[in-house]
Amino acid sequence: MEALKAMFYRQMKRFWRAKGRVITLILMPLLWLVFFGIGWASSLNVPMMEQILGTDYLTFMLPGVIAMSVFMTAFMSGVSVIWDKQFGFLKEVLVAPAPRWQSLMGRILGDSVIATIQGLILFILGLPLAKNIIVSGLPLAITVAFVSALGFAALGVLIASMRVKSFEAFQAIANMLMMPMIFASGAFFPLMNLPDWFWYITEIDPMTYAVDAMRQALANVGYFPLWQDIIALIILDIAFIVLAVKAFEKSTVE
Amino acid sequence: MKPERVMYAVEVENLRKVYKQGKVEVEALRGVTFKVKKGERFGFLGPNGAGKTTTILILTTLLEPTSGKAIVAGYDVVKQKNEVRKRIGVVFQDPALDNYLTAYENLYIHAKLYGLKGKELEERVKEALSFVDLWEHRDRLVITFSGGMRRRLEIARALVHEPEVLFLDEPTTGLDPQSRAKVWDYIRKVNEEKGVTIFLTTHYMDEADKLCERIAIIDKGKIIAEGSPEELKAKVGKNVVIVETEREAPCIEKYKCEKAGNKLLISVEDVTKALIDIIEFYKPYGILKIDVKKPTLDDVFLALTGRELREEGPENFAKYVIRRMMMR
Repeated sequence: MEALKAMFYRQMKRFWRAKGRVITLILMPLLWLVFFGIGWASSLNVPMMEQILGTDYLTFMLPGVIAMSVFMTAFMSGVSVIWDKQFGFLKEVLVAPAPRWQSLMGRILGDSVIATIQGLILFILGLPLAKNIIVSGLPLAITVAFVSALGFAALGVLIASMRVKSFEAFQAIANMLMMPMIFASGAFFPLMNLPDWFWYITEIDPMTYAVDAMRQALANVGYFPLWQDIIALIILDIAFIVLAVKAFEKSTVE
Repeated sequence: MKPERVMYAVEVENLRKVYKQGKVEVEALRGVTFKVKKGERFGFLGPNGAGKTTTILILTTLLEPTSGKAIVAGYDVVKQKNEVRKRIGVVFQDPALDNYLTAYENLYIHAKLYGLKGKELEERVKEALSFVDLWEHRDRLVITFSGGMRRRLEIARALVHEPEVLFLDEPTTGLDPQSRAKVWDYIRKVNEEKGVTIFLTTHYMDEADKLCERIAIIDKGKIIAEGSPEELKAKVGKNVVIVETEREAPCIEKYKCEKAGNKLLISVEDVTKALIDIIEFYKPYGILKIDVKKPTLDDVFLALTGRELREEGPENFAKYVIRRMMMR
């Protein structure tokens, strides 16, 4: 397992050295929370709204924004495979006798821990805004963040390990996938009374389950039973990790 | 184990590699065969695009050949990839370091990727860094290193797991002359002190000449000559003595001689003997300058292919004639 540890160590070191960059990464979700969140929370400040949402809007939204941040950070971490391709470090990994699944898992685990930490920072910053957050749900929320990050990081690596060669191409594919996944997931609105076509997308969107589980942990409201969310996320993890390992094992220097 | 296997660090037989780019097929290697003895410093000399990097990528298991066979450190590079990987160190043409980690961290990760741990890992990393005189810079980020330091660090990294064969792809490309000389020293030291077999590619003839005990010249995917630098140069042949005189002088009859402007170009085999004759003959004409030009690997390449190893600016006439004379 030394190779796994090596790559985990590398991701953590790199993150720690560039810790200033965390600010730029959580800025976007934070802006959503502050402007979108407070904007809607002010206008939806009527008793009926709390009945629909099950809680106040900012408390409803914070778990969604945390899930979004975890998702984006984990998913975009796949780009490090492309950086490594471009800056040559990938060859160093490919020529080593270590099993490739190990170095890949080290990378995915490292990125998932980083994504979880960023979610935690966002939680702390958002706490003063969301007055009904259940703080005791934090351990469950951290677990949910980590479990969903695994699958999303694997998805990012999967895309980066396929024939994607440039940073720009990865960015384009990432945006094409990320935006619909975030919007369809119910991170910003409740999933009730959606039109059928919308609901189909929501149902197959992995983000839906990450958001739902996170909201159950921190706000005690949700759409699916919690166990269903967790099972969906674990199936997702296994599927994406298996595919990512397969793709990475095939990747060459060409 | 067969005894003859043990003698060679690298055995390559009829190696072919065809790249497909859409419908176009590019034959990068067209049947390459050679052997590298254990403990040898072996060089692959050729112009850019000759197939050097393709060969190294195949020998280091990163690319599969279209056909042919390659055995490195006793193992097949296609069928026994992992056995080969354990026994080789590689310094790639483009740097493969993590710039945002320190020198120590880069080697630490490498050691872990090769399964080392604990005290042994620490000792090996320290030894490797000290070997290339970078121990005192161990905590600096690689991004602050000069090109020469990075190369040395890569050599150190390739040594951490004590490989039998060290592959270096164009190890001094892009380095200034001083750093180049230093890198050469380290490569020699690795070979002599640790007994590691060296396989390097280069398009610098001086590098192949000074560093390698044996070289293969490769062009357009085929090996066109093989031997020690001396042997190869001897094949091309002769030394040329260039004489400039005050007054116009005729050609010396004892040797092959040609006039090029105000210069006389005399091709000779034994320089010392010939010089005595030449000086005696031209003394009456007032000798201004005598130069001796020995054949280089560049000339060998030119003789074999009709092209320069490195596309350089237009040659002057004298240089051209000197070349032509060497080839007789």
